[in-house]
Amino acid sequence: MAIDNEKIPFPSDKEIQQEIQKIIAKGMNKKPSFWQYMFTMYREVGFRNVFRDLTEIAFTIVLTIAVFAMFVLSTAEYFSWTALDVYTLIFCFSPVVYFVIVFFFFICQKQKPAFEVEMTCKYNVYQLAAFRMFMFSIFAMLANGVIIFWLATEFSIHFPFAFLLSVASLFLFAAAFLYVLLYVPTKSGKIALFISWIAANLFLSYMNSYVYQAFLLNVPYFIYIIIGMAAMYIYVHQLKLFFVKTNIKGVL
Amino acid sequence: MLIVDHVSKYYGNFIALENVHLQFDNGIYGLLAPNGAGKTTLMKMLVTLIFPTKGEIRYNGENIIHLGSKYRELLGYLPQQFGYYKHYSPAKYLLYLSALKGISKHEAKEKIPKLLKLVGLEDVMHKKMRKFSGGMIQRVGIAQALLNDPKILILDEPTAGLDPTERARFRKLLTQLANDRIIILSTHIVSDVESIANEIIMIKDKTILYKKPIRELCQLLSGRIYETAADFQDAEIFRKRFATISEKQENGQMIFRFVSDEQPNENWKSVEPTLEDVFLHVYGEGALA
Repeated sequence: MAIDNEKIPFPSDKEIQQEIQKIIAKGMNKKPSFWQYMFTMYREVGFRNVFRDLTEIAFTIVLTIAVFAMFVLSTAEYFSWTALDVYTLIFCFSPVVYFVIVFFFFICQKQKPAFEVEMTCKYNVYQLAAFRMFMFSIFAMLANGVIIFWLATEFSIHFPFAFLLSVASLFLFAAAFLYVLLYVPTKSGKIALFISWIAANLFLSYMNSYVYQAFLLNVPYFIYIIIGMAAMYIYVHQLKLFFVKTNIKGVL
Repeated sequence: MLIVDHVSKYYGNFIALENVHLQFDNGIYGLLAPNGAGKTTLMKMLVTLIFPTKGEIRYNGENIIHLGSKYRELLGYLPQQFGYYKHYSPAKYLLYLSALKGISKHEAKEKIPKLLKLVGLEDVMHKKMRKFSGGMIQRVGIAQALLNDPKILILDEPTAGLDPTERARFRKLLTQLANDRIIILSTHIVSDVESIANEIIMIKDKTILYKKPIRELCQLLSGRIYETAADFQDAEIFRKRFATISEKQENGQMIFRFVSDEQPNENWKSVEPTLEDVFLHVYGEGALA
């Protein structure tokens, strides 16, 4: 009867819990972060396929910049652009390159013959779009930098300040655009946002240019840095939301 | 297992599908209905292109919408109108779609020639698709649906544009694939599915009418199908008197096939019902739409 008295070592509740956690941790795949997923997607899909329409994009950018430059140069003959006007112009038009590239991408996408097949792939059209939008925003920021650098040589504006103004404007608009993309499915909603942005800024600067420009110019640098960072944060947050929602989004 | 759990789809006031409940295990399922019955709507919901208004679709217990890319990874889809880029060759297009499906370039480059050979396009794999016939494009579509070795293969009117030899080859291919995956193909052509489908799904009045093996479907009309011959001059009178489901010419006579609960005439012989009889009986004139 010795066997009855034999002590069988039994793990404590704490040990059981630890073992359970260990099994779960080993068994469950770690959910990749947004950036990890983006990177994996980029690595698997490849630059050539993500930017399959690179020629069209380049053409759109060149055309947009050319139209903007022509507008400034041709109006300069009749209208004397002051530095203050240029700051208004920068704040108002910084999102243009971004908007044009992203908007035309969405218009073209639904008209593409392979849309349905592309939507049912592991990486669907909208997920690629999230990645592309992020890249476009970086590109638009750099393109704006180049334009502002040119404007700084022409109109004696303060480049770092103008650049900060542009970054804040670009990311504020981009965040708003992503919000519209997610919650306002119509094409007109996106156009309305863009028109409203331009119109509101022009209206404010026209109606009370002193107050508007004083606001633009008297806000200290660090506030613009904070606004710019906050806008970027909101934008990335919206981008993540867009990415998650469109991962499970259908066409209709 | 894929379950369509009491799914409805509305577009405003228009009902596209109502309370559809289906269950799919590995095998071939033929979705048989006339055009406009709601086949494509169901197909699009199965591939997450559109969402149900009511109900949900689950794969191994999880809602396919929540599974997102994990579900799409398992999916092969051939839409009714397969879109392609005209300036791409089949090889280039398949390489592009492989990337979107998360297949490595190395693996895709090994797989693509084999798939294109399987669909008989190996000789034109590097030619631009601009000059391809409808049948050739459809074969590219079939190849792309198989790229990721899908566990769920959804094919919307896959044989459209294929000639009889290609159709036969396609049916053989599906039979080979059906062992360890779910294959759902929609068609309004009975011969596409009658020799290969494990079960036939029929949609009528926006909902599922039948989901049964072919033999069971045919039993629904067992002992009620009759065939008789009539002269050409009597054909019109015959058509007016009886609800024929099919007719054909044979040896200078008209052969009529019709459904009747009792034998109208001793000379008219009772015949075994076919899937086509069931289809024509269920959909009547609508079947010809």
